[in-house]
Amino acid sequence: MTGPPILRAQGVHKTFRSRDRSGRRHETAALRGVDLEVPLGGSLAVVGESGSGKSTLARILVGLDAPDSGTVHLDGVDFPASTGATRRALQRQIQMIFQDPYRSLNPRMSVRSALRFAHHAEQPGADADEACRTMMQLVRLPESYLDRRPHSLSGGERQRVNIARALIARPNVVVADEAVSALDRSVQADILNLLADLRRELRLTLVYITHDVHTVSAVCEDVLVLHQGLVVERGRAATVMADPTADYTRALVAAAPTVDRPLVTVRPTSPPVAGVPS
Amino acid sequence: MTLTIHGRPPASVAASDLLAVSGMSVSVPGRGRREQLHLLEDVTFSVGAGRCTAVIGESGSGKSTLLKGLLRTVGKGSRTTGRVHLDGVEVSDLRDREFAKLRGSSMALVAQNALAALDPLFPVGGQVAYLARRHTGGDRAASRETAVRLLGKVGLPDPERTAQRLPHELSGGMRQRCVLAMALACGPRLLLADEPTTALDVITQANALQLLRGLQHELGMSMLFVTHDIGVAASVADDVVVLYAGRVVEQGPVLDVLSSPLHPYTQGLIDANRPPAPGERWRAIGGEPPQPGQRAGGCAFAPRCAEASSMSRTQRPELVRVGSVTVACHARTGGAAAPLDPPPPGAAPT
Repeated sequence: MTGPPILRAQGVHKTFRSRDRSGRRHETAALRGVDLEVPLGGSLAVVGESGSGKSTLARILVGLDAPDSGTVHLDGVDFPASTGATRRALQRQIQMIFQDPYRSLNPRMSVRSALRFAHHAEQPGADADEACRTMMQLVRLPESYLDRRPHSLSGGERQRVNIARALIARPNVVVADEAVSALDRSVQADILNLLADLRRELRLTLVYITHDVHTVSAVCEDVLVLHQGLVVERGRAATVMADPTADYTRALVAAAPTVDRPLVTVRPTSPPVAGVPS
Repeated sequence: MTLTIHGRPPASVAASDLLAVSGMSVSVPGRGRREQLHLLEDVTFSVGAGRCTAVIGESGSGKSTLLKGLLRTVGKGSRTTGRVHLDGVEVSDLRDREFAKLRGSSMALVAQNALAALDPLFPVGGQVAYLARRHTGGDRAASRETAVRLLGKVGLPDPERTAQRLPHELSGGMRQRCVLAMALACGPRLLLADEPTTALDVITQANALQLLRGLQHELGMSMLFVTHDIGVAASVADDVVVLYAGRVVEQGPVLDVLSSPLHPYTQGLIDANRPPAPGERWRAIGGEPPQPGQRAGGCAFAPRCAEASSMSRTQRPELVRVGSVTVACHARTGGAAAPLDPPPPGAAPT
């Protein structure tokens, strides 16, 4: 741990209510008491499958959703409970990089408009054009791209724009919700390198939400494994990923095939290996 | 001795190959008049009987186009050329009406997006039954029974009840199993799988891969498995075909290709898949694959390749056999003049 926590969540609960076709009420507990702490300049990976509550957690951390109970402290202030100018100042400090590079940018807005829009929302009055140019440099895109629209950009380029849009508010904390999952591994590697560079250059704190266990220890120092709204394991990323203690984490790690460690159970000729539930 | 495979139709199709594709090219109309975009060029490979061949490459490499080309579903105005032998019979000359009979019974597709592949308005059992009826005839009751049996076979719990459920009532993994049941409905010899597990969670994916492989062996099918995930390819495939910018750059037995890749692109894909030690940089390939229509002469990978020579930029490398694999790279084969390992005796052209 490198410093005091800039982001701290305690006992976060969130339940979604819905009705089915016959009008019966259903309750889905997305988060059932999640605690987390990220030190200033630190990085935390939140790992889980779909339905684990990781995206709900991301939305609550950046203030897009409010928790049913529990608190989120950003820089020492209860963020969801804050209002007015305090809220706006805090909002600028924490920004989100969204998942799908193909759907998170407005197709009718040029890159410049998308960036200016975010810039205006967070710090009206400042020199937007200058900020746009700086951002393009930061994410290693040519300035000429400012006048292009998302459809003329590749997935990797769009995700760079997404990152620029999150960073234009000059946040301290960035929450990346599956920010590289939709990209090819070869492009993923580029974007993860960029994120690492930016973290160093801008002293960013990173919350990295992912289902991809295999990138975790290379991207983050700490990890938290979420399963059905509960934290099942937490610790240093390298330790947890190399030697998981919770059964669920172990199954998750064992089920992820890599080029060096393919799923041997998949080959019918090989003996089954413990760890992958069938 | 050098065995050049490029452009040459196979002298004879090896008896053990269920699918043999040679010199397949696919182009679609571009924006300009008469402009054709070449999505696939001169693709030659085969899938052995009872074996699984994985096709890997980045987005835009032509992986999905390959499946569409095989199924003749590329779309209006497209042109597909080349020879396709299925089970020893040449199918590339068949008229569309004749060819349609092959779909489902000889080769069937497992689509990537299960939610899109299923009709949201009908129970899944009926959708499987419809396909069984459509392709193999029989009455409603019989096809319904077939559907329930297939849903059970793909590992869905309580198939009788699941058959009556609508797609949205099922989880992602269950939907993917339904799509698999649909593909199996007419007992295909060849399963074409287009990223069948990409949308699934990792544990669900492991189970789905296990199921696919198990069924493949049980039913004696061959499988052509398209994926961008090298870990998945290493898990399911016997052989691998690496596509780049619409061309085969390397192919061979999966263990040989992935453990000692010859083509710099294959090496790059593998490196990008290996997470670095904490604090170190990812080994990205850098750059992005060229769009169709913007592919320069010479080797398409040259602009991103550290080993590219002036020859790579001007002259397209041909596929050359090196040991158990074939590779198209000037740096590896030193042009046609360099001495190469002879092909193993009796090796059939791939």
